[in-house]
Amino acid sequence: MPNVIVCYKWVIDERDIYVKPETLELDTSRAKYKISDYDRNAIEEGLRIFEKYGGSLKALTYGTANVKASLKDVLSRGPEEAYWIGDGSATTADSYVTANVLAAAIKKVGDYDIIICAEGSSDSYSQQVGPRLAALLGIEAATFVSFVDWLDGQLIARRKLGNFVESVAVQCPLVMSVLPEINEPRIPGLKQVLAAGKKPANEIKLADLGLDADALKPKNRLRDIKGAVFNRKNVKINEDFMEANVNKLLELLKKENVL
Amino acid sequence: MGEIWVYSEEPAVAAELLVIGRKLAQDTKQVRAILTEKSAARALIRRGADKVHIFELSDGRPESCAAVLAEIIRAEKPAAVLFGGTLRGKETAAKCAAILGEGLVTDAIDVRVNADAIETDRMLFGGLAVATEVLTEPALIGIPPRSFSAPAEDESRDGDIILEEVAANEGVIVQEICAIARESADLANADRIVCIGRGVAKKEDMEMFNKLAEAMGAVVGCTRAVADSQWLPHEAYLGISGVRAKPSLYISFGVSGQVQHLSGIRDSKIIVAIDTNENAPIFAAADYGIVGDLYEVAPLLIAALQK
Repeated sequence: MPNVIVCYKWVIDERDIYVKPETLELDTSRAKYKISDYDRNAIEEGLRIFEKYGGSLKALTYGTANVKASLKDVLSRGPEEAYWIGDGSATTADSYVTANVLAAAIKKVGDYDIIICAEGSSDSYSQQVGPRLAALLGIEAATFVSFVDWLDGQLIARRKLGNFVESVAVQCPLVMSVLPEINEPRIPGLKQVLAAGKKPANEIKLADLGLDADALKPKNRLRDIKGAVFNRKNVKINEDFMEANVNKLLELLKKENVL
Repeated sequence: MGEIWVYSEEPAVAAELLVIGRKLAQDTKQVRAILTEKSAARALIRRGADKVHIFELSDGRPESCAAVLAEIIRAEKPAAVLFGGTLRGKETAAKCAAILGEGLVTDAIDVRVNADAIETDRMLFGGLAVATEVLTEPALIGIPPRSFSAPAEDESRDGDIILEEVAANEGVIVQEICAIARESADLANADRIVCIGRGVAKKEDMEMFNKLAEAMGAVVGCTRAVADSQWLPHEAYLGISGVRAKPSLYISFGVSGQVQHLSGIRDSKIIVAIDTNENAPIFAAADYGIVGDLYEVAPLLIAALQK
């Protein structure tokens, strides 16, 4: 029976970010947090394996102190218990730091067969943490998985790689990163939400992970974050009636040489 | 002085990376291409590589070369390594960076030298923002495929080819590889795209857009929501986690324009939006827009094009 750890990230909801038009600065002061969209598929896939084969299902996250607010949410989605690291270092953490912290925490939680990550997070979408964990833990990786089954200590995975699909049998323990299309995450009901409050949430102190200062220092220096600018013509075609709009559009597209 | 390296398991992508590789080399550094296919080596030299390093894969899986690649980066200290950002390339790059204990920029949209340091831009929050990062050597950078056109071949160029065998990874057994059957032409390489979003009421209406696409010589794409409702396969959705296309013309019907979707179309030459909601974010990202009912506009367009 597989022991599964699902990693997730508590991220700013990008729909709440306001870009100041004059300076292109990001205003996140009114932003709410959420479990990264893609991680919901990772959690759901963990739950499906748990329901089918038993074993255990744990959730793990690394964030700032406010990551504590994610625990009830994640536990309502299926995991039996959660482990969390809440530390200020997460504010500037890149994939290098995040993977160092999660790998050390996974070793501490111990006893795992399958680590599940999403293919990327909905904030930075660096798509690195899954394969980095495999390298740091010295275990196999199955990335970009669209279908999975577990068979006697092996994971049978279908990897979707652009123009083709690679079906692999991978020896556990391993890290798997899943594509959003792998499943449709269930929405927790009242019963799940109530039960979540009774499940254990275990804090892991960053200081107890034995990481040196270099492992917690981001490698690339972030110089600037600015709102993306779409430099487009923004012409609204507004003739007297719809047929004239359509003709005007076709005329413009011909002038642009794209039709 | 450290070399500039480009790596991709797809020779065509490695050739594209030579554009940025030569730019970073600034005529003072050597450019090395690292490939997993021997047959492409000479062409890469003619296109601008000074040296080609071939990994001969015992198991045929490019991901297996991450440790060997990390080892030669550690030993030979290139100034930068540009990774072709295919999915397999992303896994290889991330593993390589982890083994080296280095940072890595995924999907850089610009790479430049500023005050002797390499600087990159990349998207954050699904495309809402751009992050500029300053890298230290070795700068590890992933670049999306089709960001550049490969340099032309120059018959007079010559260079060395190094062969290196990469051991098989015993932990992974490939059971089957099969091509994805495409219901329509390749969206990523399409010159014109008709894109449909949630504003389209029912699956049967797809027929109208197929007709329009045919009249325009376009390929039909969609938003993630439409793919999730299975009107079109997942290969047909445009967005940060889907296809990132670069058509000369993109025209959308009933697409609201979530930032994740816009990331997949931002490199279009001309963007046209048709939607009933005049405040839909798609209009801010469009060159031309018509506020109107797509069920009125699409038939008029078909009729006009068929004239």
